[in-house]
Amino acid sequence: MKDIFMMNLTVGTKEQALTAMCSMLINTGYVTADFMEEILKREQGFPTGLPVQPYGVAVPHVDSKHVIESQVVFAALKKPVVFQQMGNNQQNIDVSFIFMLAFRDPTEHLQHLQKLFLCLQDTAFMQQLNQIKNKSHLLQLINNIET
Amino acid sequence: MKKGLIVCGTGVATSTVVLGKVKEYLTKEDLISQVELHQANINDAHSRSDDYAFIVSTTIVPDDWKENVIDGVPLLTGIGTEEVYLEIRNKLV
Repeated sequence: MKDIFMMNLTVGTKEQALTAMCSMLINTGYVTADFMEEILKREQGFPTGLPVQPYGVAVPHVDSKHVIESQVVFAALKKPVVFQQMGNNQQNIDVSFIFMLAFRDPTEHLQHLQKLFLCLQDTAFMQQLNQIKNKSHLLQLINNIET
Repeated sequence: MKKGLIVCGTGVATSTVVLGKVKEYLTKEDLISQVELHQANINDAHSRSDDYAFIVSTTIVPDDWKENVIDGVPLLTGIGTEEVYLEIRNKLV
């Protein structure tokens, strides 16, 4: 993976976090203007919280027709916010880190997609997430994971 | 030939990752030649659910649909993957 957006957020709700992340993608031209509405709507119906250890993670994404150019936004949250668990909207997850996935064509970006999920399954990677200093540090951690 | 379906909310991101994992497992177990794998989003998949020996889902499925459905989220978190593979295996052999 060559590039990623990185944000440090202090927010009180998942909607605030998602709005800030979507704004970044919209303002830089990576996604269409309706991307934010789609993300918020989809998170209600098809939640994306994942109970990974030791920090909960969310992976919001929508249909690729709302994506102009592929990009991933990573947000580290100062305080966790509540997401519902993917596949089980009765279950709440305290989410500390969010990977927002904007992929133009998921099959083309399959390697990146798989790599990101391998990262989440890697305890050493997850334990280092709260010590990330900057974008190049994050990319280095991601690219160190073998696919 | 038996058919297996992988579904998620959008039909593009998490189901793609899960499809890769399921393929990898079935190849390792020498079962890949016995099953035809499909991928869809939950809305498109709903009407055809009876056609499949198993459905691995990372999203919420309708109540009338639950019988063949295996929760695929462990394949994304890495916690509880063996149970998922075992369930798939049980539907095939």
